[in-house]
Amino acid sequence: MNETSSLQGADGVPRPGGTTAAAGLLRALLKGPLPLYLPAALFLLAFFIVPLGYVVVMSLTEPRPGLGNFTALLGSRHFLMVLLQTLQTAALVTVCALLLGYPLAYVAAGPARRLGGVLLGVIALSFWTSFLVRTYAWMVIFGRQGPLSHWLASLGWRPPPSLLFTSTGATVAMTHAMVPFMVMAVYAVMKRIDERYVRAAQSLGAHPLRAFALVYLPLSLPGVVNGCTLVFITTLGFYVMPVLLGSPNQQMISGVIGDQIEQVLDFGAASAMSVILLLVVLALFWLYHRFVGLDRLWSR
Amino acid sequence: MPARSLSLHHVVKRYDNLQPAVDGVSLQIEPGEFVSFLGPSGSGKTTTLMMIAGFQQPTSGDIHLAGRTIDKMPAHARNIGVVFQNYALFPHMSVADNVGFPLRMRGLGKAEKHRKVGAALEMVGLGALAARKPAQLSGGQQQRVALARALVFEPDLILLDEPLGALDKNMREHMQVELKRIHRELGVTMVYVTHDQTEAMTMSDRIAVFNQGRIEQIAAPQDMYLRPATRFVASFIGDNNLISATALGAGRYSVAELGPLQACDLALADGSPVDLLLRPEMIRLAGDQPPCATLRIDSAVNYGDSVLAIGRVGATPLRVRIPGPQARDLRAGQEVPLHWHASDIHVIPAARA
Repeated sequence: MNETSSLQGADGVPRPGGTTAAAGLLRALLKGPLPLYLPAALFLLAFFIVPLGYVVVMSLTEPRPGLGNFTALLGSRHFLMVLLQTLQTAALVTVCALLLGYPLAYVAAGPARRLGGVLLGVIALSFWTSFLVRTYAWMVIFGRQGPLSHWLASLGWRPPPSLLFTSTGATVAMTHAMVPFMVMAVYAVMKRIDERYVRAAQSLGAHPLRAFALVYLPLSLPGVVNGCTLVFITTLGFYVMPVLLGSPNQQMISGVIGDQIEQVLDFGAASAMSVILLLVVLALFWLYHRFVGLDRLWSR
Repeated sequence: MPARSLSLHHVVKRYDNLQPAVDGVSLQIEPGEFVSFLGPSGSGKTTTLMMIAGFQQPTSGDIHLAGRTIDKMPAHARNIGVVFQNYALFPHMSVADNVGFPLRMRGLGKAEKHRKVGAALEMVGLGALAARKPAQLSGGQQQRVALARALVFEPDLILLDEPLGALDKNMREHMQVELKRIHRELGVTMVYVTHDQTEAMTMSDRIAVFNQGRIEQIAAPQDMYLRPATRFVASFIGDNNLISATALGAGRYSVAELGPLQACDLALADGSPVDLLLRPEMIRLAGDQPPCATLRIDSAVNYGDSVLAIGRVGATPLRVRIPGPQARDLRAGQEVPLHWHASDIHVIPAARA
């Protein structure tokens, strides 16, 4: 450690042009606890950065070099509809997950410890169940002969609707998959809200509902923003559930990308779509970072 | 501000079926009084405060504020100002919005709200900081905002739950004086929970000492210091020598290995067990007076203004506090003759076990 720093001290002479910046970056990289992040960095480089770069290159070169893939996609009504549909679905799932998850997190973070524990346990259980298993479970539930149909029929709805292969079905299943994420994000923030804030509000004359609206809700908002960002961005890239449960006519973007690769073998278009999806996600992250701060998504 | 009386009648709080947290507390607080609840943690003082504030329901007993029973009333309808241990200032609101919160809840007009918030902040000396967020204030300033918020709506009663606990020593002493000034100026009834006996001694009109869910004694600070009702109160308040003894009648008490001692006569039956309280500062070096006992000093702690000599008379441990000038030469290993007046010994009948 001492050796490196003395070496760096020796060539700390300013040099012309970009070399200084590059040297500075290299120095910064070497200065940190390099051995600690090296394995992860190498792994990410080999299995994430390089393939991602490959996708970007393909989107610009297949079948011939240029922005052709992008201009074609952005001029395609169908693709823009898919993109819009995907954003809409993600927004809907986010709102539903919030409406279901917020009260759950509220009770789980509340004073009833045992009930809270049970709720978190149930949520964790569904979280730990394999994604594919949950998807097939929904296929059974939504199926033409499934319990949902029977139940609706017994209520007098004939012929009972089948939710399998509809975007509603896919939305319900995705919401179910996303509620744990929402609960965890909101719960983490709620758990840190001192009960004395609400008590103080009440002692100052606020009815419990008003104390909630004016004090608890604003204090829990960071968790809501975290949860919504997490759920929205995750849902944008959902593949299995919309493909297996959703309507073939109202695909989400991942499904369309899959089709392009598996059925049309159009790697250029598929790559360009991926890049556009990636840009949308990055834009959202940027907005989030701008207004909330990216570091708060994971920390605290 | 209106001064209201507060009374508790046989208030019990029981969780599950364990030892009750509050076990039959009764007390009467006069309008405008400053009463401290003093006791170790878990003694029931905070639970009692939370029941008065309406955050917890008594299992039995009732609470009256200004003559009306309030135990069925929800917290937000009680018109009681509460200052919490960590202030509980709303972090997403400015100082002015925090102080204005109770006025907003009462639907006051903008102009009147502004005027009252200004006056309350002026009262605690923070007029210039109205636009700040709580996180931008020091602990002492947050404490003042919390106080302003608890008194701005002219509550019938102000409850303070260890409000100075998080402050450093200088700030704490400063705030004690401030609090007393505000209490004097407003004349509002205040109940102050603390485990710090100095705080309770310096600020209160009366102190209620809590122990194991009960009030051991309620009295003015000086009375409590000079005439504690129980061994617990004697040991909790002030430095002390508590000596187990047996009543011999006619104001004489026998102490094992020390012989008979003269103190005031409580007309106790001969042979009754008692505790004799002799405060360390009541004991003097004998000088030319007849010595009552001889102390063998084990250690001498110099406080500058005084010396605390810790040692034994026979087998009985004794602490003696001697003012500075006379005490300069006290050393461990010395034997010094001591003198005290019989009237300095306070006799506490030993607890009926």
